[in-house]
Amino acid sequence: MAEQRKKTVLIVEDEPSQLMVLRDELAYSGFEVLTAGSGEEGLSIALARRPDAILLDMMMPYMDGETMLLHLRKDKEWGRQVPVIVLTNMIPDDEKRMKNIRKSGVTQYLVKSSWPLEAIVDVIKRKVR
Amino acid sequence: MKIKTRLRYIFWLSNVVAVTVGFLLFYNAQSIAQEIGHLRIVGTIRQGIAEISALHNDYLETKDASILMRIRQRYEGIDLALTEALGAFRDGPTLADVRDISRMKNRNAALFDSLLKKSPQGGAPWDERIISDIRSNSYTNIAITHTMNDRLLKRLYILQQRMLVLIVVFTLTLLTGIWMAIHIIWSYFVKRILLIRQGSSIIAGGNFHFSWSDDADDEIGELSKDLSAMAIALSASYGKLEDKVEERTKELMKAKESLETKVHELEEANAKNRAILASMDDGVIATDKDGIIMLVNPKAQALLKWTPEDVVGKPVMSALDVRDATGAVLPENERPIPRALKKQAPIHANATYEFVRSDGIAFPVYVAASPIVFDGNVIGALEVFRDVTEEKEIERAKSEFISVAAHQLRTPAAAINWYLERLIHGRIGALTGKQMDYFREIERNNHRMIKLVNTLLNVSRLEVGALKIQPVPVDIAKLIQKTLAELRPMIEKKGIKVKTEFGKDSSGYFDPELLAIVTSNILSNAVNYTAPRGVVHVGATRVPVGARVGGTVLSEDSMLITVADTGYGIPEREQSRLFRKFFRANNARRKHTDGSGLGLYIVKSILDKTGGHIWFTSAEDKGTTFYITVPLLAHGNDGSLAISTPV
Repeated sequence: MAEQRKKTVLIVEDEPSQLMVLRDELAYSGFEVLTAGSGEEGLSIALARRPDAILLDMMMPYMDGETMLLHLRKDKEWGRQVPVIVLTNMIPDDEKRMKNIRKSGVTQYLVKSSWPLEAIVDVIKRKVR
Repeated sequence: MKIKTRLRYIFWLSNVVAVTVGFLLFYNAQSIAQEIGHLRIVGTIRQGIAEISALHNDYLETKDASILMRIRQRYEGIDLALTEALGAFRDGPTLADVRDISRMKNRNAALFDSLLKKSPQGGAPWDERIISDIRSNSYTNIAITHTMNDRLLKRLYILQQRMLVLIVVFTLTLLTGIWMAIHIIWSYFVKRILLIRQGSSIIAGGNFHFSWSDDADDEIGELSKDLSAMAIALSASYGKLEDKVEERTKELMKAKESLETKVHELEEANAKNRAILASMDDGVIATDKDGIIMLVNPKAQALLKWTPEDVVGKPVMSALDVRDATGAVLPENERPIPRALKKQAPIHANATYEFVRSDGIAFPVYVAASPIVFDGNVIGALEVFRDVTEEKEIERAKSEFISVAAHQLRTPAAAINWYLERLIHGRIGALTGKQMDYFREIERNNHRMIKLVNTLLNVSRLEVGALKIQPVPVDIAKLIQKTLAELRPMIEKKGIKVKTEFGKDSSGYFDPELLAIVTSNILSNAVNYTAPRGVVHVGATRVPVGARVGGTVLSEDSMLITVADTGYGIPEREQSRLFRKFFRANNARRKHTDGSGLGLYIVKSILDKTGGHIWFTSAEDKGTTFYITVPLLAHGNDGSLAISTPV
């Protein structure tokens, strides 16, 4: 009876403070955690390691979350369907922006300040099933 | 005398003359004819005499008795002729001829008798004496006839002369008559008519002061008199006319002067108005009541890049392109001018519109429109607008700043939240009671801060106009329950009794996020500002138009939410300021230090934007009841912020 493989979650977040607490909680909840500190890093790790879900921050320097996601979704084999949960504090003001974000393939859009960790973990658990 | 009469006279006169002369001629001709008749008779007598002489000679030579018979016949014949001549001559004035003929007749008779006596039928020869008688008779007769002939011819000659004279007289008379006729026609008719013509042509030429007299009694005279009278009358009325014209001209000059003064005054006033319009820093478009552009002030021309010739006289609907903030063309019934005309009251656009310049570039404006009322009638409309590109830019910058600032503020707050969460859940080790309390306080303050940031963000988005409204089917009852669930800790802590009462149908089309803000604020206020063991009644139900609720009559079908508490109430003095930004009533401030003063401001702003209403009744220390209506047919801009909220 093989132990069920641990689900892998990739966290893409440029602020170490946020990264640490997220990683700790996810690990505590039984996930294998991968981390990336930028959009480029996130993209390459995602394509290489193919995690079961990605937690993505939007506001990052150089390549931001939206761009990374767009590139990710171009990958027809795997990148297209991997659940990507955006964790951000940015609420776009205009509809055009929101539409674009939706179009880029976000699975769920969570505002950091409204979501406790436990709730976030619940969401991930649901999406990786 | 009348023309007809005159003509009649002329006619009869000429008739008389003609008849007279004709009669004379006729008489003369008849006399001539008579004398010619006499001539013929004399000729016959002569011929007879000649025949008798011949016969006498014959008899003398032949002594033929038959000749005697013929002589006898001849004598009878001559006697007859002479008798006839007598008769004829007696008719004429020729006494001598009559005498001669008588003598001739007598002699012939005597001779005849003697001849008869001396000549028996046997034919006795005539004696010498008879023959000489016969001869002398013959000579005498011939002489007489010659004389008679002469006399006749003389008479004829006289008659012929007379005839000639008569003919000359006749011709002269005729000529005279013609001349007279012409003269009469000329002087009685033609000359006078020419005079009339001359006069009338002078009058026709405009000179009415010419007149002439023609006192004759006939029609021409009357014509002259009439024309004269006409000329006088014309002259008089012309004079009158001239006077009138002069009078009128004077009046007109006066009127003209006063008009000119008025025009000058008007022009001055107009120029002043124009100056006012020209110096306005806002654009003004004035239309008539059908929306046809009448006036565009310089600022409007500059802003829209119009020239007056382009747009004056055209309908403002087609001349001016107006869009809403999303760039969609504004439908006609939402445009300010038609709304102002329809409502017959000023309209302020409660959203930012865009006007499109003549070169196609759009710019944001604040617009207000009002009807132009003159003498109680709406005669047009006025649209005043200002280019708010700069303000919009500032607003956008503000909005962006706030958005970014909020994000920046939320980020560390979120991190703090998570760290606290893990700590409080004991993932970093067990906590003492006091440590737990401290951490909970930190968490509480952090939550408050996050809430404040969100509220500030909402307020700023509201003010900038960036809040989007998208109605979806929402169950209010469920929403209220959810909100109450979130407030459960506080409710239970304060021991507040919450009663809910929902109508049969509590669903409708609302923007869930905005409605959530409303319910959240109102319900949390009710809970926070009610003393422990107080009561909060929450109800939601549909109400029809016209229903009377809490002192107000509803103007449309709505969903009514009532929240009644037995809390601290709002002091009467402060009730009017309740919905103001950052306002907190003094008693509320004392009892509950945490409030931001923004909750009711946001609620009111949201309801204003979505066509809802909020009002309340309250008494200090007794309680407050809030009434909120949301129209069932929500109409707002589209655009959604479909952001998931935690269940």
